[in-house]
Amino acid sequence: MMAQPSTLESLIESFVTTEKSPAEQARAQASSAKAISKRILHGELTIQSLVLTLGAYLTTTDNIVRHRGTLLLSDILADLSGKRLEDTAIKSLTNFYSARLGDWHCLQGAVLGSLSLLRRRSNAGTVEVEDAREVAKSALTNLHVQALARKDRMLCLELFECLLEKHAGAVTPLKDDLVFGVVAAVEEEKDPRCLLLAFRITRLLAKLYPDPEGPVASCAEELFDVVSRYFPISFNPRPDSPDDITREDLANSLKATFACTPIFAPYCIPLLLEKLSSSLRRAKLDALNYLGHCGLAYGAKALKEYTVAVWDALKAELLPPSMPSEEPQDVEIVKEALSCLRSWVLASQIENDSSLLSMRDSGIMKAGDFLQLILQDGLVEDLVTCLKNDTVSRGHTQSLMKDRAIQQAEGAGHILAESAQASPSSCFVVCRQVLNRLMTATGLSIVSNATPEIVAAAASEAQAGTNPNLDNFKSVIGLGVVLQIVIAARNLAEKCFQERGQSLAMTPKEWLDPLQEQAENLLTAFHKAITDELSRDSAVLGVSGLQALASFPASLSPVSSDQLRRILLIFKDLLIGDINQELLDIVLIALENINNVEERSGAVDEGNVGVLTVVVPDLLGAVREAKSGTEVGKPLRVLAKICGSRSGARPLVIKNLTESIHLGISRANVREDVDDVSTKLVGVLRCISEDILPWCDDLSANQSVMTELTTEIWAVVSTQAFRCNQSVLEWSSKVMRVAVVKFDASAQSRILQHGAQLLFDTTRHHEEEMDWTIALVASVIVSVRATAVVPNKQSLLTMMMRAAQSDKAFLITETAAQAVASMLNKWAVSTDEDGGFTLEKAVHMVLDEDFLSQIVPKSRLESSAEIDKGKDFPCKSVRQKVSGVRAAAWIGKGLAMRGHSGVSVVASVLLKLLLSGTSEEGEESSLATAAAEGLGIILKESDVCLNKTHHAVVRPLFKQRFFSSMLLPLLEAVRSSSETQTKLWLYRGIGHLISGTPHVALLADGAKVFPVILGTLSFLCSDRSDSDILLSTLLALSSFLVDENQGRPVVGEHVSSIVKRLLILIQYQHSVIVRETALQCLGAVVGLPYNRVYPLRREVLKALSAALDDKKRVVRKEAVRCRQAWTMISTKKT
Amino acid sequence: MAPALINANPIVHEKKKRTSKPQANYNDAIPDVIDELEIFDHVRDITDPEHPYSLEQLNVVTEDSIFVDDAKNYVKITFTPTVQHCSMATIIGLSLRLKLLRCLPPRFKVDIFLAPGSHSTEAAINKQLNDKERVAAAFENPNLVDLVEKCLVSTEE
Repeated sequence: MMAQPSTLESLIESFVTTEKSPAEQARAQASSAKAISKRILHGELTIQSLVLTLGAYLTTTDNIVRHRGTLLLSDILADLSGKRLEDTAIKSLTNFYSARLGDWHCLQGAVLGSLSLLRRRSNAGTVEVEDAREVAKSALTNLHVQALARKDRMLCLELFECLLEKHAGAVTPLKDDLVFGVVAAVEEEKDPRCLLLAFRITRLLAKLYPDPEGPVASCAEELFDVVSRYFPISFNPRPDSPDDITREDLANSLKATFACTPIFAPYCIPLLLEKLSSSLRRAKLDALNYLGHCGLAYGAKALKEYTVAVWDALKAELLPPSMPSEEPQDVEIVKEALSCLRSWVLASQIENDSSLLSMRDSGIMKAGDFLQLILQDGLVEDLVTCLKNDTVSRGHTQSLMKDRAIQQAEGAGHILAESAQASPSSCFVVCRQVLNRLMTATGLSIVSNATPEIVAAAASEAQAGTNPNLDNFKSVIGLGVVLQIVIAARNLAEKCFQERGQSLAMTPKEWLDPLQEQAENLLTAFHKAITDELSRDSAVLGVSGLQALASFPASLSPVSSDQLRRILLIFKDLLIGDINQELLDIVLIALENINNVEERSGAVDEGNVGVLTVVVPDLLGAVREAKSGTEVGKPLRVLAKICGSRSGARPLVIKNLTESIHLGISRANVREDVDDVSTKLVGVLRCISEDILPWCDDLSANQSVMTELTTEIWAVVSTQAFRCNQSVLEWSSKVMRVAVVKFDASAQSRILQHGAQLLFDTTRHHEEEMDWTIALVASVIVSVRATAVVPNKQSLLTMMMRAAQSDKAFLITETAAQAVASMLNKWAVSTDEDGGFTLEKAVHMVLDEDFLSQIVPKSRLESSAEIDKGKDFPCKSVRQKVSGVRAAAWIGKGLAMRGHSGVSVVASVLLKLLLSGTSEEGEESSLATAAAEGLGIILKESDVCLNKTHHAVVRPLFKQRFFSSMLLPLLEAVRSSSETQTKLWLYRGIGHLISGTPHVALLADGAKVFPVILGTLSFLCSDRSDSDILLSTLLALSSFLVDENQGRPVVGEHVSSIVKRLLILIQYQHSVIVRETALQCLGAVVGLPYNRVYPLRREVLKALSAALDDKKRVVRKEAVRCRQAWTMISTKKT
Repeated sequence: MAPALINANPIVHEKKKRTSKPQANYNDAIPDVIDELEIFDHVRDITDPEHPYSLEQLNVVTEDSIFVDDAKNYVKITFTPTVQHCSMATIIGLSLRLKLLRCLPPRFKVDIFLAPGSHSTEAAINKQLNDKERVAAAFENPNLVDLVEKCLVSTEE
């Protein structure tokens, strides 16, 4: 026990001492404070005894030591924030600190200590109310915040914040003292961090005294004056500033402060109105933004006296100036002004809204102050007069009047629409008071309850215009305004719907009554706008109007189901009818939107009127009725757009399309113009496979529909009449692939079983039907899961293999080859079925001697020997051999992907074929081409089979492994071959190999690979057919050029040979993109070592000036960029 | 102290959006003709010698002030200095010329003029900018070249 006090004292001494250097001191202080607080936390020391020991340091007359002593105690207190302390200890410490706040030498320590005491949570013992008040009093009298350094200012502000937030009860009685103290503390603050605190303190203060007679109200002007100085915030944070305070943070905080109490209204709103006339755009935008925010926050009562002024100001921003000016209205300012307008309308409307909710009496819906003002402003009058008057007679030149009227009408429309969108009751008022008048003025509406005379008058009025063009033009303007209001109502309904969610039964929809009354007129008007073709835009207006009417959330819709049906029918007729492309797109988008709303509002039942029940059946009918491929195209496209994304519609569509496939088959069977039927069938199949099926994720629910579809597909393939059209088979097998991929294993097994039955049922086949069936079964095999049961594997494999190397159509051989590869790839490792026909046996069977020897050309000697022996194979045609090579490549891919060693057999075959390519024509060349492509097949991702979606078995890094196993033999072959022609084929193979390999793998083997890339570039630069390989090789080159770690060091030695080859390629005439990429690479060369690049400069610049005159713009642009880079290397160093 | 700026407070205009040509096509059979926009793309980002703004921002060159005839190998640029007495007009003209020298194929003849009435010594400067010998001489003056290169440096975005 004796040792402890002495250690404690030494710790204290090391904290307080002034002899060390500042850095050392800070470290020593931190460690000793930590050590002491640890002791207290462990209960080895009490706070009382610490204070006793510290006593001398806390009271000494040496300012620095006293400061340090206080600081130490504060540090320790901060560490003890979680430890329970006795009330007496807290009390005495609080008293100590509130006294110390007056001692400016120890200010920092005192503020810190008070802060950590005040911040204590209730479970660890808190400061009592009186003591907190004492601290506040002492702080208010003793702290002269403005005079302090930034760090201390921040601490003081934090102290005030803490007092106001956590000890509101203690500081409330201080009233005026508190408010004045805060004003004094906050005034003239410049640091952004402190400012954020200051704004917050102001808000807390306003919350503390909300009373309009209270202390804040009595000095509101001063308080507001302190914060309003910062408006509009202009703050450019230094890019290296450590704390990320942005202008937005400050502006938002200031906005909240402005809006925190209605007491500020008399000062705030005039200020903002004054700033509105500022020429600074930022100030204007901010003022509008704040004005809207404050309007909402203050509430209608506080706003009363300012409505007129605010409306005038907003009107000035929104309506076009009376003097025609050249500058167009600033879009952002208009937007901000509109949202401000909406807030004010909403603020004045809130009472009416609540009465709307409670009383359900539409008669009570009145306009609030602000809305009243807008409506009485003469805005509507002007609009109506403008629409009614025959302005030509007034002597205005027509175009001038037009521009002005359009601007005026647009402005008014925006204002009305925005007011309508503010709240349900404002929407009610606007629709009731404005919509009707507008409709009548434009001649769009025939008021339903009006007397016949009025109707006649309205009609004659509408026809009275001498100039029909002008008339049309006016009604288009009117329609535009009406449309804006309808859209606003729709948006509001959507908002209500989203806020209230599904409990809409409770939501009153009386506010939509006026719109409901007008719905019929609106519908007619918009429809007329589409059909009459009043002007170019009118059809667009009409479509958007109908869209807006139809896309209300179902429970809030102002249109009856009959009207909705009519709208949808109009759209449908437009779609199927003969309209131009532009309008068609708009209608499609409209329909999609309606469709989305329907789906979201979730009110789609069997009986309801909607896109699904009105449009889709008709479209399906149109598909069924269509006679040819051209007729069926449009409805199918619309169906795809509407139904693809809608899960509810898909089964229906698939079912119907299946039926029309069935219909097609039966018509084809009776030999009814087969050409048309088959083109239509192709269209339907394409739609199913490309637009509908990819959306279906879970097919288990619609199993029956899908089974029907697949059955129909089998039927298609076995229909004799379609044989003439190969694309029927193509799309059938595509549908099959896409559908089967999504089934589960058992369903797949069933389909496969069915297919196998057809295939092995030899009685009724003739050859062509057999081929088609094989192709279809092959597509199924390609897409099944690894777990699906493949029946009769051995014979299936044999059959596929035979088909794969036949001279049938490319589609058939290719699909069969993919099927073999897929089977081998997904072969289960331990399989007992089929009498132990294991993977090894299967591979052996497929890659047997016969197959390989038939495709591999024999040397002359060998073949003559064979002829001598009389061991003569049935000689295969070139086409058969090529299919064989491709089949071998696919098999190689399947095996390589699962990491099977059989791929090496394939690889050696391909290599042999490449080596045998001696001439540019003839059998050898086509075989060599196939072999080179084969290398590509093995490595490149295929999107039709053997990938993740087609459930393939993929070993990681198989590409890298295959690449590195192929590279050495190929290089060896290149080195040893003497003929250029052979080298050319080898390089083509290498090109394919490189294009399929990930660049990471190329870079890892950089030193070996790079010379090959250069070789490929120089060998392939002449032939047109090589442009694809050339491009991918160039991309590989560019990845070397930009890779700092692995690529550049390798490339550095080859600069001149790279440039030599690139300079040839920038003139490559067969492909634009090769030229472009070559120029990009050439630009990247500049980044290589200077001493190697610089000597080539002259040569490159000369070549580039030719590239500047390229035929294509993209190439020229790249050339300019490249030339800039090469020019810069000389200027950089001088 | 640095000499006073000639136009201390120029009006800065918004940059126009880069209108990319509808989907650059890679069909070699259809050649793209060099047009006004392409030339404008070359020169719009040249920095003003006096301010950190581009010529486009200061409205010194616009798309309309460029005339191109690809078939006749002719380009004519008319530029408007920000103030009448701008002594930087020659520098701007030289940087336009150097930039086009680098960006256009050599077959083009480039004429660079001041917009009529936009400068107090219009005729003299026009003559200076289109005189081959004088331009060549200017590019041999290291100080001038430095100044012009500085204008071109930041053209790459």
